[in-house]
Amino acid sequence: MKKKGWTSLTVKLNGLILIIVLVLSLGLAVFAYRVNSERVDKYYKQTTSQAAATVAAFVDGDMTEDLLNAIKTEEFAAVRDAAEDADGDQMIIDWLSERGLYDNYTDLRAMLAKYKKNLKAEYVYLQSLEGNKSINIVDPDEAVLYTGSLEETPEGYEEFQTNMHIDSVVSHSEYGWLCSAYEPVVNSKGENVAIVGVDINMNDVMEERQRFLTTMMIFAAALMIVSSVITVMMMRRIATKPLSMLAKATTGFANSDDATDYLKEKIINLPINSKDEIGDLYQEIRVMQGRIVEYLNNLTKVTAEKERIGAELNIAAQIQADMLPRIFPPFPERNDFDIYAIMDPAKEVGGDFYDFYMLDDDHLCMAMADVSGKGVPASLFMTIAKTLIKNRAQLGEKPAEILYNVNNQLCDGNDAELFVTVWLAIIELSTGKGVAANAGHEHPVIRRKDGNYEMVLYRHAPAVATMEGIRFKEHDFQLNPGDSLFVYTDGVTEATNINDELFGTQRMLDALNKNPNANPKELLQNVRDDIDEFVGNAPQFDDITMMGLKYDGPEQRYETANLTIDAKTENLDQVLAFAEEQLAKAECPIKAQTQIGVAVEEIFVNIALYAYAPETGKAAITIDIGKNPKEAVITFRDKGVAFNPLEKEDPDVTQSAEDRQIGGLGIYIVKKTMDSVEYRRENDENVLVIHKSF
Amino acid sequence: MTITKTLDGTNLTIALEGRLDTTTSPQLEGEMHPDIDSATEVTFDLENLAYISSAGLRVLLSAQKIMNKQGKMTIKNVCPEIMDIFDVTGFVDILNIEN
Repeated sequence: MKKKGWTSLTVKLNGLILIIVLVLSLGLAVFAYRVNSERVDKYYKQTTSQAAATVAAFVDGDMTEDLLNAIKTEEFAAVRDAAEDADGDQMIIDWLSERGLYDNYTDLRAMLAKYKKNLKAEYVYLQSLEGNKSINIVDPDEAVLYTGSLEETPEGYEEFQTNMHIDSVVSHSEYGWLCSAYEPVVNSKGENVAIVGVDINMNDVMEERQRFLTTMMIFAAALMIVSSVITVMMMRRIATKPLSMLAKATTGFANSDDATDYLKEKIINLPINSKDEIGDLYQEIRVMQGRIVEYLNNLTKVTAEKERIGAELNIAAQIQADMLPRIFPPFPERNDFDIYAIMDPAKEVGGDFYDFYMLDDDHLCMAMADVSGKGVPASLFMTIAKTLIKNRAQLGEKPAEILYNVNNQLCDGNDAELFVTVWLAIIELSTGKGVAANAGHEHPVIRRKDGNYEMVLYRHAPAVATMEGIRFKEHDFQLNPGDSLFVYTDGVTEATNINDELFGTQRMLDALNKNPNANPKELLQNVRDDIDEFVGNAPQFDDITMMGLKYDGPEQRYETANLTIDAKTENLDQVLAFAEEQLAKAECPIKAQTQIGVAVEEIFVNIALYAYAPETGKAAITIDIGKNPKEAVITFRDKGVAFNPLEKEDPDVTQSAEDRQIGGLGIYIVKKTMDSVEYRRENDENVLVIHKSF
Repeated sequence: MTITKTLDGTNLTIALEGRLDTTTSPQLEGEMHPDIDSATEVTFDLENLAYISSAGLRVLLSAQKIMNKQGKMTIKNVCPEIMDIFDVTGFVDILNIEN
C-alpha cells in the first residue's frame, strides 16, 4: 500500500480531535471567565449601590441644600477663585464660617469620611448634577478648595441632572477600575438636592480576573495537549492501527490480476479481537475472502468443464459438418448437373441438414430437412433422420416410401417429441424426371430455362416423426436442360433483422432472380449476401441451409467428323473450312469460332512446316463437338518426328517490337485461347488435343 | 484476302479485307514493299479483317519495325476478335492501335 500522507485516516482523525479539543477548551475558558466576571460585577454593583443608598440616607438633605445654595452664589465663586490664587483653604473656611455653614461642611465631611472608612470605599463624595456641569460639594479626600469646583459631567450622565438615582457601573479611568453608584440626597421637603457618589476600587478584582483568565488559558492548553495525546493514542490503538493493518492485509490479498492467485493461505489473519465495528469488518472480510477463494476455485472447475464441453461440441459440430457432402463439385466427372449447398448453423451444432447422393448412375437423390429445436438434441435427431433416409433411399425406395418408413422408425421411442420437416426428391438424370415428397417442408423454388425463379406450391404432408403411419404423397416434376431447382430451410425466409422483420419468400426470390443465370454456388452466395445485408447486426436465430441444383441434361454430342489431308500450307483453307463447317453446326459464337480457327491454323501449319520436313506426310484431324455441354475437342495426329510443341518456352510478350522473337507465337496463342492443350506420343504418332468450351 | 493500298505522298494506307493467315500473309508482305520503304506514315485499316493468325502478326511486326525507324504506323478499326489476339500476344503494347 502506498503512503497516504495527509489523506490518511490517522492524520484526518487526529487533526479533527485536536481542533475539537481546542475549540472546547477555549470555549470553556471564555465561558468560565464571563460567568465569573458577571457574577463579581453584579456583586460589586449591588454592594456599591447599597453603600450609596446607605450614605444618602444618613446625609442631612437640608444641610447639604444650604451648603449647596451658598457655594452656588457668585460671591462664593469669587472667594473660591481668590482662594485658588492664594492656594489656601482659609479664605473659604472663613467665608463659610461667617455664614455659619462651615460646621455643615465639616459635619458632612466627617460623616462621608466615616462611611468611606467603614464601607472600604475608594471615594465617597457629594455632588450636584446640573446639566453638563457637576458641582462638587464635599469630598473627604479633597481639600476645602475642592468644594464648589465644577466638573464636566461625564458623557452619558447628562440626563441625570435632576440628582436622581443612577445604577452602578463598572468603569476604568485615570482612577483605575471603579464600581460607581449614585444615590440622591433628599431634603426635609422630600426634594432631591444632591447625589452621593460611592466608588469602590475594583483594581484587585480586575487583576484577579486577569490571573483567572490566564490560568484558564493555560489550563485549556494543557487540557488540549493531554486530551489530544490521549485520544490520538486511543484512536491509534482502537481504530487507525487495526484499520491500516486491515487495509494493508486486504491489499496483499487482492494485488493480483491472476484469478489463480486467490488462495486460502492468503486470507487475512490479524490480531484483531475487538468486538466493535472494526472487529466485525475484519470478520466480514475474512468471510468474504473465504467465499472469493471458494468461488474462484469453483469457477476454475466450471470453466474447465465448460471448455471441455466446448471442445466436445466443436468436435460434434465437425462430425456433423463432415456428415454433409461438402466437397464441391461433388461429381466432377458429370456434366449433366451442377449442385451446391451450404449450411450455417445458428448454434455450434444445428438441426438442419441437406444431403445429396447418386443412387445409381442415373438417379440423384436430394434431401433438405429441418429438425424442430436447436442445438445438440436437434443435431442428434438430424443425424438419425439423415442416416435413415439415406439408407432407405439406397435400398431403392421411392420418396413417399422412404418418408413413410423413416417416419415410423423415428416415431418409435421419440420421447423428446422432436420432428423433422423433409423435402426429398429423386431425379432421373437421363430424362429429367423427378419425384418429390414434401413432409411439411418449405416450398421448393424452380426456374425454367431463361425464366425466373418461382415458388412451386402444392400441399404438404405433415412433418416426419409427428405421428406413426402417415402416408406421404408423391409429386412428379420434370426438369429440362437449363432448369434449376432451389430448396432451403426456414432459416432463410425467417431470418430476422433488428426491426423484427422477416426476410420472407419475396426477398428470397428477388435474391435468386438478381442473377438467375448464376451457377448454384454463386446463386446461394447471392441469397446469403442478401440475407446478411438484410439482417445486419441482428443475431442469427436459426440454421441457414440452402441447396441449389442446375440441371443441364444428359450429355449430347454431334457425330465426330474426321479429315485426313496432306500436311501442306496450301491445304490450310480446306482445313479451316472443315473446322468452320463443324463449328457452325453447334452454333458456336463468333469469338470462340475465331479463336478455334486460329488454333487450328497454327497447329496445322506447324505440322505442315516441320513434322515431315523436308518430306511431306498426312495430318489427321478429328473434330468432336458437344451439344451439351457446348464444347469442341479437336485432335491432330501426324506420323512425323516426335515433337511436343508445348515444351517450347513461351515468348516474352512484354518485349518491344525490335526485341521480339518471331517464333513460338503461334503455339502461344493456342495455349492462351484454348481451355486446354494436350500432347501425347501414341503409336508413333504426335497427338495434340485442344479443348474449348463455348 | 483483298488488299487495298492508297499512297498519298509518303502516307501509305493499307485496308485489309478477309483473313490474314498463313496463306495470305505472304501476299500482304509482297504488296507492302516497296511502298513502305519510303513511307513516313503507314495506316492499316482492319475494319473488314475478320481473322488474324501468328503469320499475320509477323507481317505487322516487321512493318512496325520498319516504321519505328522512319516514321509512324497506326492500326485502326480493330474488331474485338482480333483485338483479343493482340491482347494475348502483347501486341497491344507494340502496335499503335486507334479504335
